[in-house]
Amino acid sequence: MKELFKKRRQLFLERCLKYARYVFNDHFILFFFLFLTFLAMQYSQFLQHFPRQQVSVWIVLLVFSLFFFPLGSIATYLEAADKHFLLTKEEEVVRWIQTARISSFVFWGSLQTLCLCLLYPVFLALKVPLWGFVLYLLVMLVAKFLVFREKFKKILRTSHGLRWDLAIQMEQKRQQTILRFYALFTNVKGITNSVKRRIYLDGLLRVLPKTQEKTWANLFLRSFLRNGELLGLTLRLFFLSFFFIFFIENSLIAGTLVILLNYLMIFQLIGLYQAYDYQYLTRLFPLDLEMKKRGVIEVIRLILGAVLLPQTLVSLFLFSDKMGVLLLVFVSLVFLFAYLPFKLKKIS
Amino acid sequence: MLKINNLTGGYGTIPVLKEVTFTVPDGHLVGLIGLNGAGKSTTISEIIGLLTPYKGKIEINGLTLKENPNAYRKQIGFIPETPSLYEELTLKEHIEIVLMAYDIPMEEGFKRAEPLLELFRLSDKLDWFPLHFSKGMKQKVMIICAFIINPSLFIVDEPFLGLDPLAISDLTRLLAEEKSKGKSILMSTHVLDSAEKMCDSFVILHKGQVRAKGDLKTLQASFDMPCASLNDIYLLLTKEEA
Repeated sequence: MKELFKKRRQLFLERCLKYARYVFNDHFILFFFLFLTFLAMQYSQFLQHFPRQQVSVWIVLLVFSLFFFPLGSIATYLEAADKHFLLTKEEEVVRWIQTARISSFVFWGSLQTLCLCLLYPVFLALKVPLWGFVLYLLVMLVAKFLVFREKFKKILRTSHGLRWDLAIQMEQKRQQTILRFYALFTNVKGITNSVKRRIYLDGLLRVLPKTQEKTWANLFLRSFLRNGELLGLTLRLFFLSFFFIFFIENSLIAGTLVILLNYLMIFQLIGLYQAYDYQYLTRLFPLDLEMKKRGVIEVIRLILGAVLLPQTLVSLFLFSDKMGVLLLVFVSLVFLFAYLPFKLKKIS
Repeated sequence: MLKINNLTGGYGTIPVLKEVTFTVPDGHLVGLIGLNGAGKSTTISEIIGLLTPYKGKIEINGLTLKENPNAYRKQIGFIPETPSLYEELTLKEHIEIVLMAYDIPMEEGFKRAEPLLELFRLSDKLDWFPLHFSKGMKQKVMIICAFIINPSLFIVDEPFLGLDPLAISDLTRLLAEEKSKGKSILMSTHVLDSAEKMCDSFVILHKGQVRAKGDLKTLQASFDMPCASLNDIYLLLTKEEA
Protein backbone atom coordinates (compact mmCIF):
# COMPACT_ATOMS: atom_id res chain seq x y z
CA MET A 1 0.00 0.00 0.00
CA LYS A 2 2.77 2.35 0.99
CA GLU A 3 4.48 1.68 -2.33
CA LEU A 4 1.35 2.69 -4.25
CA PHE A 5 1.08 6.03 -2.49
CA LYS A 6 4.80 6.69 -2.71
CA LYS A 7 4.59 6.11 -6.44
CA ARG A 8 1.71 8.55 -6.70
CA ARG A 9 3.67 11.10 -4.70
CA GLN A 10 6.63 10.68 -7.00
CA LEU A 11 4.45 11.08 -10.10
CA PHE A 12 2.84 14.24 -8.74
CA LEU A 13 6.18 15.74 -7.73
CA GLU A 14 7.63 14.93 -11.15
CA ARG A 15 4.67 16.69 -12.73
CA CYS A 16 5.20 19.75 -10.54
CA LEU A 17 8.89 19.74 -11.41
CA LYS A 18 8.04 19.68 -15.09
CA TYR A 19 5.81 22.74 -14.72
CA ALA A 20 8.33 24.44 -12.44
CA ARG A 21 10.82 24.39 -15.30
CA TYR A 22 8.41 26.52 -17.34
CA VAL A 23 7.74 28.89 -14.46
CA PHE A 24 11.32 29.43 -13.33
CA ASN A 25 12.77 30.24 -16.71
CA ASP A 26 15.69 32.66 -17.15
CA HIS A 27 13.57 35.80 -17.28
CA PHE A 28 11.58 34.86 -14.26
CA ILE A 29 14.69 34.02 -12.21
CA LEU A 30 16.23 37.36 -13.12
CA PHE A 31 13.04 39.22 -12.23
CA PHE A 32 12.70 37.16 -9.05
CA PHE A 33 16.24 38.02 -7.85
CA LEU A 34 15.71 41.69 -8.61
CA PHE A 35 12.51 41.54 -6.62
CA LEU A 36 14.27 39.76 -3.72
CA THR A 37 17.06 42.34 -3.71
CA PHE A 38 14.46 45.10 -3.66
CA LEU A 39 12.66 43.45 -0.75
CA ALA A 40 15.92 42.90 1.15
CA MET A 41 16.86 46.57 0.72
CA GLN A 42 13.45 47.71 1.90
CA TYR A 43 13.77 45.38 4.91
CA SER A 44 17.17 46.73 5.91
CA GLN A 45 15.90 50.32 5.45
CA PHE A 46 12.99 49.46 7.73
CA LEU A 47 15.34 48.03 10.39
CA GLN A 48 17.62 51.08 10.23
CA HIS A 49 14.71 53.48 10.66
CA PHE A 50 12.76 51.35 13.10
CA PRO A 51 9.45 53.00 14.02
CA ARG A 52 9.23 54.37 17.54
CA GLN A 53 5.59 53.36 17.77
CA GLN A 54 6.18 49.67 18.50
CA VAL A 55 2.48 48.76 18.91
CA SER A 56 1.96 48.76 15.14
CA VAL A 57 4.95 46.41 14.69
CA TRP A 58 3.51 44.03 17.28
CA ILE A 59 0.14 44.09 15.52
CA VAL A 60 1.74 43.29 12.16
CA LEU A 61 3.67 40.43 13.78
CA LEU A 62 0.48 39.07 15.32
CA VAL A 63 -1.39 39.21 11.99
CA PHE A 64 1.59 37.58 10.28
CA SER A 65 1.67 34.75 12.84
CA LEU A 66 -2.08 34.23 12.64
CA PHE A 67 -1.76 33.98 8.85
CA PHE A 68 1.13 31.52 9.03
CA PHE A 69 0.15 28.81 11.47
CA PRO A 70 -3.01 27.46 9.73
CA LEU A 71 -1.15 27.04 6.40
CA GLY A 72 -0.51 23.56 4.99
CA SER A 73 -2.50 20.39 4.54
CA ILE A 74 -1.84 16.68 4.70
CA ALA A 75 -0.57 15.36 1.36
CA THR A 76 -2.46 12.06 1.24
CA TYR A 77 -2.39 11.45 -2.55
CA LEU A 78 -5.82 9.81 -2.34
CA GLU A 79 -7.73 9.51 -5.61
CA ALA A 80 -11.47 9.37 -6.26
CA ALA A 81 -11.43 5.70 -7.29
CA ASP A 82 -9.80 4.69 -3.98
CA LYS A 83 -13.19 4.96 -2.32
CA HIS A 84 -14.15 1.95 -4.37
CA PHE A 85 -10.99 -0.06 -4.87
CA LEU A 86 -9.22 0.44 -1.55
CA LEU A 87 -12.29 0.24 0.67
CA THR A 88 -11.28 -3.15 2.01
CA LYS A 89 -7.82 -1.80 2.84
CA GLU A 90 -9.19 1.07 4.90
CA GLU A 91 -6.98 0.41 7.93
CA GLU A 92 -3.84 0.46 5.83
CA VAL A 93 -4.96 3.68 4.13
CA VAL A 94 -5.52 5.27 7.54
CA ARG A 95 -2.03 4.18 8.61
CA TRP A 96 -0.63 5.76 5.44
CA ILE A 97 -2.46 9.01 6.15
CA GLN A 98 -0.93 8.97 9.62
CA THR A 99 2.55 8.74 8.08
CA ALA A 100 1.60 11.42 5.56
CA ARG A 101 0.43 13.66 8.38
CA ILE A 102 3.83 13.45 10.09
CA SER A 103 5.83 14.11 6.93
CA SER A 104 3.54 16.98 5.96
CA PHE A 105 3.93 18.45 9.44
CA VAL A 106 7.72 18.17 9.24
CA PHE A 107 7.70 19.90 5.85
CA TRP A 108 5.36 22.74 6.80
CA GLY A 109 6.88 23.08 10.30
CA SER A 110 10.39 23.51 8.87
CA LEU A 111 9.15 25.92 6.22
CA GLN A 112 7.37 27.99 8.84
CA THR A 113 10.38 28.05 11.20
CA LEU A 114 12.68 29.03 8.33
CA CYS A 115 10.45 31.90 7.27
CA LEU A 116 9.98 33.09 10.83
CA CYS A 117 13.77 33.09 11.38
CA LEU A 118 13.88 35.90 8.81
CA LEU A 119 11.94 37.95 11.35
CA TYR A 120 14.62 37.57 14.04
CA PRO A 121 16.11 41.06 13.36
CA VAL A 122 12.66 42.57 14.03
CA PHE A 123 12.51 40.76 17.36
CA LEU A 124 16.02 42.01 18.15
CA ALA A 125 14.94 45.55 17.38
CA LEU A 126 11.96 45.03 19.68
CA LYS A 127 14.49 44.03 22.37
CA VAL A 128 13.08 40.50 22.70
CA PRO A 129 15.73 38.16 24.17
CA LEU A 130 16.83 35.05 22.21
CA TRP A 131 14.96 32.69 24.54
CA GLY A 132 11.81 34.70 23.90
CA PHE A 133 12.21 34.30 20.16
CA VAL A 134 12.87 30.56 20.47
CA LEU A 135 9.79 30.25 22.66
CA TYR A 136 7.79 32.07 19.96
CA LEU A 137 9.07 29.60 17.32
CA LEU A 138 8.13 26.66 19.56
CA VAL A 139 4.64 28.00 20.24
CA MET A 140 4.11 28.46 16.52
CA LEU A 141 5.34 24.91 15.91
CA VAL A 142 2.94 23.51 18.51
CA ALA A 143 0.12 25.51 16.90
CA LYS A 144 1.00 23.99 13.54
CA PHE A 145 1.06 20.53 15.11
CA LEU A 146 -2.42 21.08 16.53
CA VAL A 147 -3.68 22.29 13.15
CA PHE A 148 -2.45 19.11 11.49
CA ARG A 149 -3.98 17.00 14.27
CA GLU A 150 -7.34 18.69 13.72
CA LYS A 151 -7.13 18.17 9.95
CA PHE A 152 -6.37 14.50 10.55
CA LYS A 153 -9.24 14.12 13.01
CA LYS A 154 -11.60 15.75 10.54
CA ILE A 155 -11.14 13.00 7.96
CA LEU A 156 -11.42 10.21 10.52
CA ARG A 157 -14.78 9.15 11.78
CA THR A 158 -14.79 8.09 15.41
CA SER A 159 -16.02 4.53 15.03
CA HIS A 160 -16.25 3.71 11.33
CA GLY A 161 -12.81 4.72 10.12
CA LEU A 162 -12.09 7.04 7.21
CA ARG A 163 -14.44 9.68 5.79
CA TRP A 164 -13.54 8.83 2.23
CA ASP A 165 -15.43 11.57 0.39
CA LEU A 166 -14.03 14.33 2.57
CA ALA A 167 -10.48 12.96 2.48
CA ILE A 168 -10.55 12.66 -1.32
CA GLN A 169 -12.11 16.10 -1.67
CA MET A 170 -9.42 17.64 0.55
CA GLU A 171 -6.63 16.02 -1.41
CA GLN A 172 -8.12 17.16 -4.73
CA LYS A 173 -8.40 20.70 -3.37
CA ARG A 174 -4.77 20.60 -2.25
CA GLN A 175 -3.51 19.42 -5.63
CA GLN A 176 -5.72 21.88 -7.50
CA THR A 177 -4.28 24.77 -5.47
CA ILE A 178 -0.76 23.77 -6.46
CA LEU A 179 -1.65 23.21 -10.12
CA ARG A 180 -3.56 26.49 -10.28
CA PHE A 181 -0.37 28.32 -9.32
CA TYR A 182 1.44 26.77 -12.27
CA ALA A 183 -1.55 27.50 -14.50
CA LEU A 184 -0.84 31.22 -14.07
CA PHE A 185 2.33 30.72 -16.11
CA THR A 186 1.76 27.76 -18.39
CA ASN A 187 -0.84 25.31 -19.69
CA VAL A 188 -1.62 22.74 -17.02
CA LYS A 189 -3.59 19.57 -17.61
CA GLY A 190 -6.18 18.44 -15.11
CA ILE A 191 -7.35 21.79 -13.78
CA THR A 192 -11.03 21.53 -13.00
CA ASN A 193 -13.19 24.60 -13.00
CA SER A 194 -16.05 24.89 -10.64
CA VAL A 195 -19.29 26.31 -11.98
CA LYS A 196 -21.09 28.89 -9.89
CA ARG A 197 -24.70 29.83 -10.45
CA ARG A 198 -24.22 33.60 -9.76
CA ILE A 199 -27.93 34.28 -10.12
CA TYR A 200 -27.36 38.02 -9.49
CA LEU A 201 -25.61 38.27 -12.87
CA ASP A 202 -28.55 36.83 -14.83
CA GLY A 203 -29.71 40.37 -15.68
CA LEU A 204 -26.57 40.86 -17.80
CA LEU A 205 -27.60 37.96 -20.02
CA ARG A 206 -30.45 40.06 -21.39
CA VAL A 207 -27.96 42.00 -23.54
CA LEU A 208 -28.10 39.21 -26.09
CA PRO A 209 -31.26 38.34 -28.04
CA LYS A 210 -32.18 34.67 -28.10
CA THR A 211 -31.94 34.06 -31.84
CA GLN A 212 -30.21 31.40 -33.91
CA GLU A 213 -27.33 33.71 -34.93
CA LYS A 214 -26.65 34.43 -31.27
CA THR A 215 -26.67 30.79 -30.08
CA TRP A 216 -22.91 30.70 -29.55
CA ALA A 217 -22.73 34.20 -28.10
CA ASN A 218 -25.37 33.15 -25.56
CA LEU A 219 -23.34 30.07 -24.65
CA PHE A 220 -20.03 31.94 -24.34
CA LEU A 221 -21.48 34.75 -22.23
CA ARG A 222 -22.88 32.19 -19.78
CA SER A 223 -19.54 30.44 -19.62
CA PHE A 224 -17.82 33.76 -18.90
CA LEU A 225 -20.22 34.73 -16.14
CA ARG A 226 -20.50 31.38 -14.39
CA ASN A 227 -17.54 29.17 -15.11
CA GLY A 228 -14.10 29.14 -13.60
CA GLU A 229 -11.72 31.99 -13.23
CA LEU A 230 -12.36 34.20 -16.25
CA LEU A 231 -14.78 36.61 -14.58
CA GLY A 232 -12.54 37.05 -11.53
CA LEU A 233 -9.45 37.49 -13.69
CA THR A 234 -11.16 40.12 -15.86
CA LEU A 235 -12.33 42.03 -12.79
CA ARG A 236 -8.85 41.95 -11.22
CA LEU A 237 -7.25 43.29 -14.41
CA PHE A 238 -10.02 45.89 -14.67
CA PHE A 239 -9.40 47.22 -11.14
CA LEU A 240 -5.64 47.10 -11.62
CA SER A 241 -6.06 49.28 -14.72
CA PHE A 242 -7.80 51.92 -12.57
CA PHE A 243 -4.95 51.72 -10.09
CA PHE A 244 -2.59 52.67 -12.94
CA ILE A 245 -4.90 55.42 -14.22
CA PHE A 246 -5.16 56.97 -10.75
CA PHE A 247 -1.62 56.65 -9.48
CA ILE A 248 0.79 56.89 -12.43
CA GLU A 249 1.44 60.50 -13.21
CA ASN A 250 2.93 60.13 -16.68
CA SER A 251 -0.17 59.70 -18.90
CA LEU A 252 1.66 57.90 -21.70
CA ILE A 253 3.15 55.31 -19.34
CA ALA A 254 -0.20 54.83 -17.58
CA GLY A 255 -1.94 54.48 -20.95
CA THR A 256 0.60 51.91 -22.13
CA LEU A 257 0.21 49.86 -18.95
CA VAL A 258 -3.58 49.86 -19.29
CA ILE A 259 -3.20 48.75 -22.92
CA LEU A 260 -1.02 45.89 -21.67
CA LEU A 261 -3.72 44.85 -19.20
CA ASN A 262 -6.40 45.00 -21.91
CA TYR A 263 -4.23 42.86 -24.15
CA LEU A 264 -3.85 40.29 -21.35
CA MET A 265 -7.61 40.36 -20.88
CA ILE A 266 -8.28 39.63 -24.57
CA PHE A 267 -5.60 36.95 -24.53
CA GLN A 268 -7.23 35.16 -21.59
CA LEU A 269 -10.75 35.58 -22.99
CA ILE A 270 -9.81 33.83 -26.24
CA GLY A 271 -9.83 30.68 -24.08
CA LEU A 272 -13.63 30.94 -24.13
CA TYR A 273 -13.56 29.58 -27.68
CA GLN A 274 -12.72 26.15 -26.34
CA ALA A 275 -14.99 26.35 -23.29
CA TYR A 276 -17.58 23.99 -24.73
CA ASP A 277 -15.30 21.49 -26.43
CA TYR A 278 -16.22 18.94 -23.75
CA GLN A 279 -19.83 19.02 -24.99
CA TYR A 280 -19.89 16.94 -28.17
CA LEU A 281 -23.57 17.59 -28.75
CA THR A 282 -22.81 21.16 -29.84
CA ARG A 283 -21.20 19.56 -32.88
CA LEU A 284 -24.63 18.23 -33.85
CA PHE A 285 -26.27 21.68 -33.90
CA PRO A 286 -27.35 22.85 -37.36
CA LEU A 287 -24.93 25.81 -37.16
CA ASP A 288 -21.89 26.78 -39.24
CA LEU A 289 -18.45 26.85 -37.64
CA GLU A 290 -18.28 30.52 -38.63
CA MET A 291 -21.11 31.24 -36.20
CA LYS A 292 -19.02 29.91 -33.32
CA LYS A 293 -16.19 32.27 -34.21
CA ARG A 294 -18.54 35.22 -34.61
CA GLY A 295 -20.10 34.35 -31.24
CA VAL A 296 -16.84 34.40 -29.32
CA ILE A 297 -15.71 37.62 -31.03
CA GLU A 298 -19.02 39.27 -30.15
CA VAL A 299 -18.77 38.29 -26.48
CA ILE A 300 -15.13 39.40 -26.15
CA ARG A 301 -15.94 42.76 -27.80
CA LEU A 302 -18.90 43.15 -25.45
CA ILE A 303 -16.75 42.52 -22.37
CA LEU A 304 -13.88 44.71 -23.56
CA GLY A 305 -16.35 47.45 -24.52
CA ALA A 306 -17.69 47.40 -20.97
CA VAL A 307 -14.11 47.70 -19.71
CA LEU A 308 -12.84 50.29 -22.19
CA LEU A 309 -15.71 52.75 -21.77
CA PRO A 310 -15.12 53.56 -18.06
CA GLN A 311 -11.33 53.43 -18.61
CA THR A 312 -11.65 56.07 -21.35
CA LEU A 313 -14.02 58.32 -19.39
CA VAL A 314 -11.92 58.30 -16.21
CA SER A 315 -8.61 58.78 -18.03
CA LEU A 316 -10.14 61.71 -19.96
CA PHE A 317 -10.53 63.45 -16.61
CA LEU A 318 -7.28 62.35 -15.02
CA PHE A 319 -4.66 62.19 -17.78
CA SER A 320 -2.79 65.46 -18.15
CA ASP A 321 -1.59 64.44 -21.61
CA LYS A 322 -4.68 63.54 -23.69
CA MET A 323 -2.46 61.63 -26.13
CA GLY A 324 -2.48 58.88 -23.50
CA VAL A 325 -6.27 58.52 -23.85
CA LEU A 326 -6.06 58.47 -27.63
CA LEU A 327 -3.34 55.82 -27.49
CA LEU A 328 -5.35 53.68 -25.09
CA VAL A 329 -8.52 53.77 -27.20
CA PHE A 330 -6.79 53.36 -30.54
CA VAL A 331 -4.57 50.40 -29.62
CA SER A 332 -7.36 48.64 -27.71
CA LEU A 333 -9.62 48.92 -30.76
CA VAL A 334 -6.84 47.56 -32.99
CA PHE A 335 -6.60 44.56 -30.64
CA LEU A 336 -10.35 43.99 -30.82
CA PHE A 337 -10.85 44.46 -34.53
CA ALA A 338 -7.57 43.26 -36.09
CA TYR A 339 -5.70 41.05 -33.62
CA LEU A 340 -8.70 39.12 -32.26
CA PRO A 341 -10.12 37.85 -35.60
CA PHE A 342 -6.57 37.05 -36.76
CA LYS A 343 -5.79 35.07 -33.61
CA LEU A 344 -9.06 33.09 -33.83
CA LYS A 345 -8.39 32.24 -37.44
CA LYS A 346 -5.14 30.68 -36.30
CA ILE A 347 -6.81 28.64 -33.55
CA SER A 348 -9.47 27.10 -35.78
CA MET B 1 -36.63 7.97 -43.90
CA LEU B 2 -33.04 7.02 -43.11
CA LYS B 3 -31.14 5.22 -45.86
CA ILE B 4 -27.70 3.75 -45.26
CA ASN B 5 -25.99 2.33 -48.29
CA ASN B 6 -22.72 0.39 -48.26
CA LEU B 7 -21.36 2.29 -45.28
CA THR B 8 -17.74 1.56 -44.36
CA GLY B 9 -16.32 3.62 -41.56
CA GLY B 10 -14.59 3.74 -38.20
CA TYR B 11 -12.01 5.55 -36.15
CA GLY B 12 -8.74 6.73 -37.66
CA THR B 13 -7.64 4.16 -40.15
CA ILE B 14 -9.30 1.17 -38.48
CA PRO B 15 -12.56 0.29 -40.22
CA VAL B 16 -15.18 -0.87 -37.73
CA LEU B 17 -18.14 -1.00 -40.10
CA LYS B 18 -17.97 -2.95 -43.33
CA GLU B 19 -20.51 -2.29 -46.07
CA VAL B 20 -23.47 -1.75 -43.79
CA THR B 21 -26.76 -1.28 -45.61
CA PHE B 22 -30.21 -0.79 -44.10
CA THR B 23 -33.14 1.63 -44.06
CA VAL B 24 -35.44 3.01 -41.39
CA PRO B 25 -38.71 3.81 -43.22
CA ASP B 26 -41.12 6.53 -42.09
CA GLY B 27 -43.39 5.41 -39.26
CA HIS B 28 -41.06 2.56 -38.32
CA LEU B 29 -39.10 1.75 -35.21
CA VAL B 30 -35.98 -0.24 -36.05
CA GLY B 31 -33.92 -1.91 -33.34
CA LEU B 32 -30.15 -1.93 -33.76
CA ILE B 33 -28.96 -5.08 -31.99
CA GLY B 34 -25.51 -6.55 -31.46
CA LEU B 35 -22.92 -7.60 -28.91
CA ASN B 36 -20.54 -5.13 -27.31
CA GLY B 37 -18.15 -3.89 -29.99
CA ALA B 38 -20.39 -4.99 -32.86
CA GLY B 39 -20.44 -1.44 -34.26
CA LYS B 40 -23.77 -0.04 -32.98
CA SER B 41 -22.31 3.16 -31.52
CA THR B 42 -20.05 3.62 -34.54
CA THR B 43 -23.09 3.36 -36.82
CA ILE B 44 -24.84 6.02 -34.74
CA SER B 45 -21.78 8.29 -34.78
CA GLU B 46 -21.64 8.02 -38.56
CA ILE B 47 -25.32 8.93 -38.91
CA ILE B 48 -25.21 11.94 -36.60
CA GLY B 49 -22.01 13.16 -38.24
CA LEU B 50 -19.42 12.75 -35.50
CA LEU B 51 -17.57 10.41 -37.87
CA THR B 52 -17.12 10.68 -41.62
CA PRO B 53 -17.69 7.52 -43.66
CA TYR B 54 -14.74 6.14 -45.66
CA LYS B 55 -17.18 4.81 -48.20
CA GLY B 56 -20.91 4.65 -48.75
CA LYS B 57 -23.79 7.06 -48.34
CA ILE B 58 -26.12 8.12 -45.54
CA GLU B 59 -29.32 9.95 -46.48
CA ILE B 60 -32.16 11.32 -44.39
CA ASN B 61 -35.19 12.24 -46.49
CA GLY B 62 -32.89 12.67 -49.46
CA LEU B 63 -30.51 15.02 -47.61
CA THR B 64 -26.83 14.28 -47.00
CA LEU B 65 -24.51 15.81 -44.41
CA LYS B 66 -22.02 16.83 -47.07
CA GLU B 67 -24.41 18.71 -49.31
CA ASN B 68 -26.88 20.15 -46.81
CA PRO B 69 -25.22 20.02 -43.39
CA ASN B 70 -27.68 22.26 -41.55
CA ALA B 71 -30.87 20.88 -43.08
CA TYR B 72 -29.55 17.33 -42.48
CA ARG B 73 -28.79 18.02 -38.83
CA LYS B 74 -32.23 19.50 -38.27
CA GLN B 75 -33.77 16.15 -39.19
CA ILE B 76 -32.16 14.33 -36.25
CA GLY B 77 -33.24 14.13 -32.63
CA PHE B 78 -30.52 12.27 -30.77
CA ILE B 79 -30.79 10.77 -27.29
CA PRO B 80 -27.30 9.56 -26.32
CA GLU B 81 -26.45 6.68 -24.03
CA THR B 82 -24.58 8.97 -21.65
CA PRO B 83 -26.26 12.31 -20.99
CA SER B 84 -24.09 15.19 -22.14
CA LEU B 85 -25.03 18.50 -20.56
CA TYR B 86 -23.62 22.00 -20.25
CA GLU B 87 -22.04 22.56 -16.87
CA GLU B 88 -22.85 26.26 -16.87
CA LEU B 89 -26.45 26.21 -18.12
CA THR B 90 -29.66 25.78 -16.16
CA LEU B 91 -32.34 23.36 -17.32
CA LYS B 92 -34.37 26.24 -18.80
CA GLU B 93 -31.30 27.55 -20.65
CA HIS B 94 -30.63 24.08 -22.07
CA ILE B 95 -34.06 24.20 -23.67
CA GLU B 96 -33.49 27.79 -24.84
CA ILE B 97 -30.12 27.00 -26.43
CA VAL B 98 -31.56 24.03 -28.31
CA LEU B 99 -34.46 26.19 -29.55
CA MET B 100 -32.03 28.90 -30.62
CA ALA B 101 -29.72 26.49 -32.43
CA TYR B 102 -32.60 24.84 -34.28
CA ASP B 103 -34.22 28.22 -35.01
CA ILE B 104 -37.50 27.46 -33.24
CA PRO B 105 -39.44 30.41 -31.75
CA MET B 106 -39.16 30.40 -27.94
CA GLU B 107 -42.91 30.47 -27.35
CA GLU B 108 -43.59 27.54 -29.62
CA GLY B 109 -40.66 25.58 -28.20
CA PHE B 110 -41.73 26.01 -24.62
CA LYS B 111 -45.27 25.01 -25.58
CA ARG B 112 -43.73 21.74 -26.78
CA ALA B 113 -41.50 21.42 -23.71
CA GLU B 114 -44.12 22.06 -21.01
CA PRO B 115 -46.03 18.75 -21.21
CA LEU B 116 -42.70 16.87 -21.31
CA LEU B 117 -41.35 18.75 -18.28
CA GLU B 118 -44.61 17.99 -16.51
CA LEU B 119 -44.47 14.32 -17.51
CA PHE B 120 -40.91 13.89 -16.23
CA ARG B 121 -41.57 15.98 -13.09
CA LEU B 122 -38.96 18.60 -13.94
CA SER B 123 -41.21 21.69 -14.15
CA ASP B 124 -40.06 22.96 -10.75
CA LYS B 125 -36.34 22.50 -11.51
CA LEU B 126 -36.03 24.89 -14.45
CA ASP B 127 -33.51 27.09 -12.64
CA TRP B 128 -31.20 24.26 -11.55
CA PHE B 129 -27.91 23.23 -13.08
CA PRO B 130 -28.76 19.77 -14.47
CA LEU B 131 -25.18 18.82 -13.64
CA HIS B 132 -26.39 18.17 -10.10
CA PHE B 133 -29.26 15.95 -11.29
CA SER B 134 -29.29 12.16 -10.94
CA LYS B 135 -28.40 10.14 -14.02
CA GLY B 136 -32.05 9.42 -14.77
CA MET B 137 -32.98 13.09 -14.51
CA LYS B 138 -30.12 14.05 -16.83
CA GLN B 139 -31.36 11.45 -19.31
CA LYS B 140 -34.83 13.01 -19.12
CA VAL B 141 -33.32 16.40 -20.02
CA MET B 142 -31.73 14.79 -23.08
CA ILE B 143 -35.07 13.25 -24.04
CA ILE B 144 -36.87 16.60 -23.74
CA CYS B 145 -34.19 18.36 -25.82
CA ALA B 146 -34.54 15.73 -28.56
CA PHE B 147 -38.33 15.93 -28.66
CA ILE B 148 -38.74 19.74 -28.73
CA ILE B 149 -36.92 20.09 -32.05
CA ASN B 150 -39.62 17.96 -33.70
CA PRO B 151 -37.18 15.89 -35.81
CA SER B 152 -38.15 13.48 -38.55
CA LEU B 153 -35.67 10.86 -37.35
CA PHE B 154 -35.07 9.86 -33.74
CA ILE B 155 -31.83 8.13 -32.85
CA VAL B 156 -31.99 6.59 -29.42
CA ASP B 157 -28.92 4.95 -27.92
CA GLU B 158 -29.63 2.60 -25.00
CA PRO B 159 -32.65 4.63 -23.87
CA PHE B 160 -33.50 2.59 -20.80
CA LEU B 161 -30.24 2.93 -18.89
CA GLY B 162 -30.70 4.89 -15.71
CA LEU B 163 -34.43 5.54 -16.19
CA ASP B 164 -36.95 4.34 -13.63
CA PRO B 165 -39.74 1.98 -14.81
CA LEU B 166 -42.24 4.83 -14.92
CA ALA B 167 -39.98 6.93 -17.14
CA ILE B 168 -39.28 3.90 -19.35
CA SER B 169 -42.98 3.38 -19.95
CA ASP B 170 -43.44 7.13 -20.60
CA LEU B 171 -40.61 7.15 -23.13
CA THR B 172 -41.96 4.03 -24.81
CA ARG B 173 -45.34 5.73 -25.16
CA LEU B 174 -43.79 8.95 -26.49
CA LEU B 175 -41.82 7.03 -29.11
CA ALA B 176 -44.94 5.13 -30.16
CA GLU B 177 -46.80 8.45 -30.58
CA GLU B 178 -44.02 9.86 -32.75
CA LYS B 179 -44.00 6.68 -34.82
CA SER B 180 -47.71 6.98 -35.45
CA LYS B 181 -47.06 10.53 -36.72
CA GLY B 182 -44.80 9.01 -39.38
CA LYS B 183 -41.41 9.65 -37.75
CA SER B 184 -38.60 7.12 -38.22
CA ILE B 185 -36.85 5.81 -35.11
CA LEU B 186 -33.57 3.93 -34.81
CA MET B 187 -33.00 2.46 -31.38
CA SER B 188 -29.89 0.70 -30.18
CA THR B 189 -30.44 -1.46 -27.12
CA HIS B 190 -29.48 -4.54 -25.14
CA VAL B 191 -32.84 -4.80 -23.39
CA LEU B 192 -34.09 -7.44 -25.79
CA ASP B 193 -37.52 -8.29 -24.43
CA SER B 194 -38.53 -4.61 -24.57
CA ALA B 195 -37.00 -4.32 -28.05
CA GLU B 196 -38.95 -7.36 -29.21
CA LYS B 197 -42.21 -5.75 -28.10
CA MET B 198 -41.47 -2.22 -29.37
CA CYS B 199 -39.62 -2.60 -32.66
CA ASP B 200 -41.16 -3.20 -36.06
CA SER B 201 -37.96 -4.70 -37.37
CA PHE B 202 -34.33 -5.29 -36.39
CA VAL B 203 -30.85 -4.87 -37.78
CA ILE B 204 -28.44 -7.33 -36.22
CA LEU B 205 -24.87 -6.16 -36.40
CA HIS B 206 -22.04 -8.60 -35.90
CA LYS B 207 -18.36 -7.73 -36.19
CA GLY B 208 -19.18 -4.54 -38.09
CA GLN B 209 -21.42 -6.20 -40.64
CA VAL B 210 -25.16 -6.67 -40.97
CA ARG B 211 -25.64 -10.28 -39.94
CA ALA B 212 -29.42 -10.22 -40.48
CA LYS B 213 -32.27 -7.74 -40.80
CA GLY B 214 -36.05 -7.74 -40.90
CA ASP B 215 -38.90 -8.47 -38.52
CA LEU B 216 -38.75 -11.29 -35.99
CA LYS B 217 -40.12 -13.84 -38.46
CA THR B 218 -37.46 -13.02 -41.02
CA LEU B 219 -34.77 -13.26 -38.34
CA GLN B 220 -36.06 -16.62 -37.16
CA ALA B 221 -35.88 -17.89 -40.73
CA SER B 222 -32.45 -16.40 -41.34
CA PHE B 223 -31.00 -18.06 -38.21
CA ASP B 224 -32.99 -21.19 -38.89
CA MET B 225 -34.63 -20.97 -35.47
CA PRO B 226 -38.43 -20.97 -35.83
CA CYS B 227 -40.23 -19.77 -32.65
CA ALA B 228 -36.98 -18.36 -31.24
CA SER B 229 -37.13 -15.13 -29.27
CA LEU B 230 -34.82 -12.20 -29.94
CA ASN B 231 -32.95 -13.28 -26.83
CA ASP B 232 -32.32 -16.78 -28.24
CA ILE B 233 -31.01 -15.30 -31.47
CA TYR B 234 -28.74 -12.97 -29.55
CA LEU B 235 -27.34 -15.85 -27.50
CA LEU B 236 -26.63 -17.74 -30.70
CA LEU B 237 -24.54 -14.78 -31.84
CA THR B 238 -22.47 -15.13 -28.67
CA LYS B 239 -21.77 -18.74 -29.55
CA GLU B 240 -20.77 -17.76 -33.07
CA GLU B 241 -18.38 -15.29 -31.48
CA ALA B 242 -16.78 -18.09 -29.41
